[in-house]
Amino acid sequence: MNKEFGLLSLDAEPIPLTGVKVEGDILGRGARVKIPQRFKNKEDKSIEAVYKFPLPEGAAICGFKAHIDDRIINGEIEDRDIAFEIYDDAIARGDGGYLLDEERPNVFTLSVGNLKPHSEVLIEIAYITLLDMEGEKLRFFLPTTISPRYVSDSMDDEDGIPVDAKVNPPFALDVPYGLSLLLNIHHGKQFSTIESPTHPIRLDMKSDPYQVSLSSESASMDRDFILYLESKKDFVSHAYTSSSNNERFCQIDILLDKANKDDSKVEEDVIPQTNKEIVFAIDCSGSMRGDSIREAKKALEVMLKALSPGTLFNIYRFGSSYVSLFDASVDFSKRTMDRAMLYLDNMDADLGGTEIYRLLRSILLPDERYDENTQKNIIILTDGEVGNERKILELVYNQQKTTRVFSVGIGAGPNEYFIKAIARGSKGAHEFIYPGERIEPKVLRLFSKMMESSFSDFEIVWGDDDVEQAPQKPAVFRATPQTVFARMKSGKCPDKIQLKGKEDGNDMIWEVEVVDSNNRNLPIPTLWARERIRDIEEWGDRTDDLGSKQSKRKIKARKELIVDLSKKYGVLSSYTSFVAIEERQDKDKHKGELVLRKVPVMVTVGWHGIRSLGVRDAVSSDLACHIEHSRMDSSHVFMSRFKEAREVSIRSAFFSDETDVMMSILSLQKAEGGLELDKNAKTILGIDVAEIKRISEDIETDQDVDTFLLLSTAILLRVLEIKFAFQRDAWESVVPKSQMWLKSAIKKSKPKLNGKDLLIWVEEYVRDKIRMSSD
Amino acid sequence: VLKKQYTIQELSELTGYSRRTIRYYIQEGLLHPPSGRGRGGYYYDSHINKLSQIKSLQDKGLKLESITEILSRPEDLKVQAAEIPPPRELWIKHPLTDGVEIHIRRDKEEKHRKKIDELIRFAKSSLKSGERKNE
Repeated sequence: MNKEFGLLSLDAEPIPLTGVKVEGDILGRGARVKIPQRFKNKEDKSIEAVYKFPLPEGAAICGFKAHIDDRIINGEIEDRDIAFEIYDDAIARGDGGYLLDEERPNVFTLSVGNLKPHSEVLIEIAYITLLDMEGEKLRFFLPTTISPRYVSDSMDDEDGIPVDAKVNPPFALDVPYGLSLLLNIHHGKQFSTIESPTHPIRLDMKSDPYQVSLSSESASMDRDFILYLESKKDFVSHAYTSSSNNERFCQIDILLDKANKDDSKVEEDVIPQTNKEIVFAIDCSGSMRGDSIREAKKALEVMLKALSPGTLFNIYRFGSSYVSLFDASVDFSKRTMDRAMLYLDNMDADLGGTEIYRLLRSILLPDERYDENTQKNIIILTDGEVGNERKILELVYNQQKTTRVFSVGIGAGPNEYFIKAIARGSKGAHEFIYPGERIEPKVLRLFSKMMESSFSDFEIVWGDDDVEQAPQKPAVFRATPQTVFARMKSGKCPDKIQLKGKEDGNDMIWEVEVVDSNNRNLPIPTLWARERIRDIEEWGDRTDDLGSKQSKRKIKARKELIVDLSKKYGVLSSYTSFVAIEERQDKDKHKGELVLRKVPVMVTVGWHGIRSLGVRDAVSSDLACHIEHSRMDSSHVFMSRFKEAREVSIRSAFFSDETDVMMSILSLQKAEGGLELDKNAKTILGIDVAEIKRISEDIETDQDVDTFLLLSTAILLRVLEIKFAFQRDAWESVVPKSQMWLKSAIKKSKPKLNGKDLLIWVEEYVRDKIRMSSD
Repeated sequence: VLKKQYTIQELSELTGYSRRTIRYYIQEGLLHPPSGRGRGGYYYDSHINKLSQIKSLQDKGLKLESITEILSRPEDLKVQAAEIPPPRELWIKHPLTDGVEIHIRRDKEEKHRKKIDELIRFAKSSLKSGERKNE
């Protein structure tokens, strides 16, 4: 009886999805992307195909079409439940129905209903988005699969449906469909490098737009696609305005310069006392095994050593449970630092699944030992594969007055939404690290944001009282681009927009000129609507009390607001769905049973050690027949060598040994400041410690001081300045303690060597060494 | 006597379950499919009863996984379903210090979160001061 049923195992069922094609245009800082997905019913009975897939969390999904033979049916946005009913009714009538639901801001369900035997349909999803900026680079990001989310027993069902069923598709080790991609890069000349850390790519630069495609015709959908575009021009603040249907909108791209460091000021001060608490939380679940945990430990060591005495700190490691180094945060000192180092040595990725909620609850427990001015900072390294994002985020939102979260997403397919939202919701910042990319520089960049004196009372003056700004509470850091949108109720936008904020107690004002967008860029109303919807989804409307219990009435009002915005501006939201109905002639209707076919997706490569990427090997073998290219090579050489289409896979800073050297130097930092050379210096820097020891004995000083430490600190700081100028972002925030230690030691003891000021001697010594090593 | 018939829309309105959720329960075998061919068929009072049974268990804080298990128990046990403890009790573990933990049943934890946070804080600090005295 069950014979036939037995055949319907996952392996035996034909998979109705035959291919996913991505076509995109990169315009300035934005991208317009279309994703056609082709479905074919290879069976003799009618089916309902259900496909769960990811999209970038910030994407404004504004198009949904079904192509059936020569017909094109445009989808419409409806209230989520109503859309389902329209879809359900259509299928019951025997018509075709196509439905797109948002399960999470980055997880979507497409239902293709009533696909008749051997028929085909092409579903096209379109979105626009602004690209993230990482330093000078634009980052185009496209996820291709959903990593299995950890759904713990304590997670509630949603609308009576288990979370697992909502966010986790069936997984398979291999699937018969793949990804093809074509990106048009408009005004390609503005970029000095175009590279992908995730896929071998083909770059065609014969004419504008440049075209990027994947080297293989059909790539496995088991990892994110990332493309970095490095701009030749420096990014500066801009503001654009445009109007649509009697409404006026404004977009401002903010980039505040790095603070000018007043050198004279540093000299006077001793190390500033902070009232910061810093908690490091390291994901030690199985998915972090191998290189990830090793590099994470290295980054953690360097950050720890950069702390100033008196800073409160603690280390948590977590998986399905959590443990911490100290019961509660402790003052940073030589003694506690040593204990932390010992703890790091023994740290391994052996803690099972990803349970973040209980971890954060424990970290966020208020502690009466601190006054209310103590700012809590959490640096969390994780793949973020959780199913209860909302619950975790609420915890963080409720503490956003005192706590900031700095999140680092790790792996070939981390949960982009969670990593970004947890930082966004607490005015922190985030980074992503793909396997093979170095963890340390990115983590240190995040660390430097955390150490930056943050702006208080940051405000954008739009010159209009009735403005709906989105996001309402942007997190602003120096040298980090941030985009804010506004809808002006008055219909007017001023010529100039003011930015105001307080930094270290000083009032700061910037002005940005507003120009007409001339519709050159992406449509501002759509981008505004997406941002506004997200703001309401994450923060509630501005009339809401943050942190107060959400009454049913408020939730209802919030839902209505989102549904209205979503319908008016044609952007998908958590409360709405796209639905398209294909009306069929009577003879074509199918009213009988439908067989449900869930499309399996590939497990993310490297997930829990499955088909581990081992990127370093994999990519270098790819490189055998390609041209190697280091980040520091002059870029026009690279550009001119690629006049015609050919395969490019670029080796870049991701694999540099230089970073190892820099990290070794940074890990020499002592608790009270100073960098002390050790015996490894010979191999990494060509500096003989015994020789330095001998030389240091010849230093003449006014006061008794550790001349060896003095000399090694001066040398190592100089090495960083000269040899690692291009990685300044990474080390700058780590060494202030040692810089100050050196300055104050020199001021007190006025050291001289061979009749020269010590620093002058060191300068010559370091330049000599570097010259010798490059010969 | 003709059985009373309902459309899916009526079933949804009568029970408060969205049509999406009802379709999911049918798909998962919790509910019988409608009578007749395909999706357009009719539902009966038995469907309403089944859904209200599910609802009452959900109101007790049970998740669908446990409900499926309870509803698949033999008929004589099912009657007392309400009295049978959930198949698995969930306890949340809060480590306080090395060798000391507080365990709290999940439903209690959700209900009294603030109080429990206070309790943990108090326990931690009292353990701490105990340590200091012993030193």
